[in-house]
Amino acid sequence: MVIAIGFEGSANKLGIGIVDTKTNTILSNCRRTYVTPPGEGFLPRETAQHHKSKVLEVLKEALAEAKLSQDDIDVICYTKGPGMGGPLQVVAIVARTLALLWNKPIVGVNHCIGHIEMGRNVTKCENPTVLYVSGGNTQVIAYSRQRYRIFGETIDIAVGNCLDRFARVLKLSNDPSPGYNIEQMAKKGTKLMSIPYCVKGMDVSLSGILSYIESRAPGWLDQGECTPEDLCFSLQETVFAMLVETTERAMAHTGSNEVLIVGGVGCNLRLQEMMRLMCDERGATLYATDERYCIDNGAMIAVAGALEFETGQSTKLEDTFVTQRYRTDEVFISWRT
Amino acid sequence: MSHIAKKFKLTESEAMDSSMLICFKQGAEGRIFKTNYLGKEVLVKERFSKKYRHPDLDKVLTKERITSEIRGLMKCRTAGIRTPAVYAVNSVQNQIIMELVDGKTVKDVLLVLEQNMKHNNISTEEDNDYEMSVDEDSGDEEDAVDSSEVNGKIKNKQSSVPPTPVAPSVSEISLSNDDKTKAQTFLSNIIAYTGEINLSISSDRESNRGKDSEKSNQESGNLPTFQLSKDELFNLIKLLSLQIGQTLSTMHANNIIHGDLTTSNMIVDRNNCLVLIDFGLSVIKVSTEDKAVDLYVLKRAILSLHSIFSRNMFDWVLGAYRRENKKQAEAVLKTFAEVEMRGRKRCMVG
Repeated sequence: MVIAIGFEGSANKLGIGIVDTKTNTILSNCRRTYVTPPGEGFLPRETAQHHKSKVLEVLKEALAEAKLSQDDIDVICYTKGPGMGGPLQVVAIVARTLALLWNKPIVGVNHCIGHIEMGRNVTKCENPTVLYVSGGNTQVIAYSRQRYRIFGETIDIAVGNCLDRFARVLKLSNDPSPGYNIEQMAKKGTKLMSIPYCVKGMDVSLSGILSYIESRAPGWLDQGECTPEDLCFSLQETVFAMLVETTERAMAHTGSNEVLIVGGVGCNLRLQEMMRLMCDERGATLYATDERYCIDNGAMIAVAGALEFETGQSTKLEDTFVTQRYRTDEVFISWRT
Repeated sequence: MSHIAKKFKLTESEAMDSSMLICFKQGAEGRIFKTNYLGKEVLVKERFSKKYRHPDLDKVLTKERITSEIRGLMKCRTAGIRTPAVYAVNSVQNQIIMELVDGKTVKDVLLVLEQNMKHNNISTEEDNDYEMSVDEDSGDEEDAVDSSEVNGKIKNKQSSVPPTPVAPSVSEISLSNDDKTKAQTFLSNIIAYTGEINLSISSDRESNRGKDSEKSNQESGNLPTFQLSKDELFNLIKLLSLQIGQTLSTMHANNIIHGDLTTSNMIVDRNNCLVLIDFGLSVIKVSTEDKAVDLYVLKRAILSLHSIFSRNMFDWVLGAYRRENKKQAEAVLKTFAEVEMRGRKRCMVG
């Protein structure tokens, strides 16, 4: 029963959230997003600078919104990885400093575990097969014996990355996110262009699809074979079908009948709809969350950190480093049976 | 044959109506029915259209997979690998009518064994390490049999060091004829248990409510009591691994890539013979890359579902795979190391 504050900044989102595990409520969940001009992605240095300039303002906001002072906080949680080095470091320094300043224990959290635990917490599902889709990760995960084990994943780029980079080809706005704008465009698309469909067992490959559509798109558009909307539609239909298929295959293998979608791409309603159709066919249940919890946020780090803290663990100060490579299955899950 | 064609005319209009068939399994690929066909009990695999997919995409994929499936099944048979015989294909309803294999999937056999281990309190020497993320640290290529030692050594080590491809560890299977016969007998016994027992275990898995005590009590009530010593148990797994390794080696030597190798896609029949099924994602290809990916898919399936046996088992499979065809195995395992790296690297922003 603790009040935990979570610091997240592994990519272009900076989030600080406070949760109370006694009442299981999110007291505050503040966020700033670093938005780049159309046609450009976010780079580590600029993103780190963005986080640095905003982090204290967001912290004050989070405390004020939760109506708490520093004394009410029991534990400080921060994202240890995976993510971009620079932004991770900025946030970790703040978390570490506060831990010393306020004399509180600190817990380093795996970003992916944060997503999963937040999803489980919000949707109250028991033991789901998890599809974790974001700008940096694409994994199909199931829990077994104290680990979140990866059943399938992308063997090259992440699905969010694929969508973001395609948005750059079409020069779509990055506000609020390139994926959101693709989703809106896709709603108006009707013609399905033939794009490679690349499933390898339980894994997917997306880089070839991106190259293909990047190279063909200008020609198709010039000759009037399809509209930008059709391209967005085709890309979503193809890529999401691959994700749903691998998820279904993992479910068939484990005999699971719950699916949880987490991660930034998880708030795409078309992906949710396709997954729901798949679940209906199998008599399974879909659990999904909206953009407040899907997209990187501070509360999810607090939720996962609090779970670990409640089992009596915290991170030693000398171990509160950050790491860019930190696989989901490296974490020992002490809080589940 | 006209008779079959006639039969099909009939079935399309009435008899093969899905509602009349008994669906006993829904895989990721389609529904499986049991029915009677020309006086024989057969299995019907129907690929229904996936509503979540765009109709055009769905049509293309379904056709493609039916073709792949039949091609894979036939090619394997020609190569001397046991697969269910294909009796007929209904291309309108996307059904394949094939032999009903009497046996148990390797997955179910392993799950029975796992239950047995829990019963007899046989420890699984590996408890809190996860082989996939750490196995690059185990330099010993030849002899990873004593995994307790290996795992002890590398426990809790994080792979923060930039990883370099290392050939996977391979364990030669040493199994005396005597042990082999014994293991064969045990295997037949397990296969012989049909219906109830098998189902109760798998349905417990399905509901997946964790391993609470309440459930294990209920399980102990109806579980068969297999009395195996730890050695005997490992001999049994060796036997299975041996068969899997040999079969896959032959399959790859014939340039057949299965595409979805999991323990649920392998059946051990009444003669203890390994039967491969589910060739929907199969392709015919010479490249070592695809063969390596094939093995990688299997490794992950074993690790994620049978983590209790994982390390030994997969090493043994590779051992048998290599013994069967050394030249092929060396090339494939080299690529395998590279393939493995891709998955591992893949942890960045999010």
